[in-house]
Amino acid sequence: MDGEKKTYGGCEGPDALYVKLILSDGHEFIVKKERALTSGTIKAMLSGPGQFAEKEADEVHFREIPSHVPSKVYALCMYFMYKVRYTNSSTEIPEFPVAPEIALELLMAANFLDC
Amino acid sequence: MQDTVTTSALLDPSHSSVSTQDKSSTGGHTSSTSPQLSKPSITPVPAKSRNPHPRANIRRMRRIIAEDPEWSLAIVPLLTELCIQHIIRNFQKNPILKQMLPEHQQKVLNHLSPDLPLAVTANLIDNENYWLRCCMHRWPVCHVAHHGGSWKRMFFERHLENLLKHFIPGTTDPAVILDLLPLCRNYVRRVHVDQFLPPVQLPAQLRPGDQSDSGSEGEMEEPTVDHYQLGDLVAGLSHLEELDLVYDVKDCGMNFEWNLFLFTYRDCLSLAAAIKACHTLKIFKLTRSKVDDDKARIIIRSLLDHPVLEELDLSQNLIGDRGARGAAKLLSHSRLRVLNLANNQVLAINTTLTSINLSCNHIGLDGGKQLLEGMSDNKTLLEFDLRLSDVAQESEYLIGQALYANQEAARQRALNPSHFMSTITANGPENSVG
Repeated sequence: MDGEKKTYGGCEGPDALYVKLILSDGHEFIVKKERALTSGTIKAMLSGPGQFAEKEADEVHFREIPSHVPSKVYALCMYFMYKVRYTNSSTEIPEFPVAPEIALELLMAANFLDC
Repeated sequence: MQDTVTTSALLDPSHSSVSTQDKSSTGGHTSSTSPQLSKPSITPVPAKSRNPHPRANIRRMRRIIAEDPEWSLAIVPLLTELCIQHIIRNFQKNPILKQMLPEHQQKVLNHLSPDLPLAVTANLIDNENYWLRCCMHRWPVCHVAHHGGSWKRMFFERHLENLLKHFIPGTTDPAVILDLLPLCRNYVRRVHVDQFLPPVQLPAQLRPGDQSDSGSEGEMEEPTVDHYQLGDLVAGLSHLEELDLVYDVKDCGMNFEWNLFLFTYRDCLSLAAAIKACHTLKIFKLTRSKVDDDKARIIIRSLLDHPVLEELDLSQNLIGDRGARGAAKLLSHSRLRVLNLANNQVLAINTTLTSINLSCNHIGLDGGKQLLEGMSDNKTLLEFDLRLSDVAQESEYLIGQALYANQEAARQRALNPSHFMSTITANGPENSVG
């Protein structure tokens, strides 16, 4: 992704392509919106009735999820991609690999994000 | 809409394997409408869950399974489901249970295999449902009421009993039982072993000049017939309350030999030491083990002043009057509530006892009959007080008759009639038989 010359859409506005996930220690992750909507929690935060600040800036703050386990965030993003890729798809669905050392934390995060 | 008819023909050869493996929680149950698949599995079988075979997804898309709480429309499983599956699969290497939320814990427990090693599960899982599945998986008939209503306790007690019953001294590694102790010590309250195997008999080497009569063979083999010594076991079970032993061999079939049933002197000594050291033992039963007077006295001696023993059962042994005397001494030196000496040789071979007082005991009908049997050979008993002992009227009468005969014989033998009491009777609750 770094080596490509691409311009990315912004994170602002209702039809932004990307959404910013801000974790509890300030790390920001920018994910394609369509994929982030896999998570029920994120979807609710972004599309709920009016008052959320998230809706305007397309940012989601997660106060409970720390990023000190980077592989967990990576796994989450991989899962978003996996889900979007294979939903309503007729191709074979391969198994999603879960690393054993992060299984528990990933479960907690997944439970929170409702995905 | 893709055509699934052609693809289903391709899927058929793999379907028989899919249907048996297809037990993941994301709705992998076989459909009853498809004739090629095996019978529908409706009850959730605790097996290793994994994602269904990918090519089965097409069929899954077109199925609706009623009353399956785990079926979902989504083809791609939720990340929570994937994590739980992963945890279940790797539970043996990485047992995570307590750190999860209760609903996740429940899901994991419902799907864990009952074959997991006890080293992993024993001290981690308290959920009775899991132990119920383990018990049912292993034994077809389970009476949980015999084990205090706890499936976990039942599993460990039966498992331990199974190991003890098949332990062959000298062949089986004692570590097998000792390794189990730290896992089960908190849960085992009662040990009931009705078989103790003797060590494997090597062909006897005849010393020069020995005849193969039973006397010398008995001496040669006596030291090698000791059964499993219970000292370590009893010391290791910190909550043991009941010990129920029979030194017996079952299913010996055509290999029956009397020396399979020896409760040896060394066995007796180690057993006595073990029960003396066990301060939580409330009930001790040693039946049908050919326990004679000497061994009974050894055991009784170790039970004197035992802090908590309440019930002692030495029935169906070979205890004579010396053993009975020891038992009587025990009655006054302990907190014993129930003493059972049924079917022993107490009265039959007795030649010195002249007076027994068993009044105000709940001897009951069977006890009365056994006392009567003992009395039938007894020629010296003169006084037998059975008041308020619930002995049947017929038994009382017959015992009375036997006593009367003894008294008459004694009177006849006496040089000085004043030695004997003249108003000796066995009194029942209602009638007095003279």
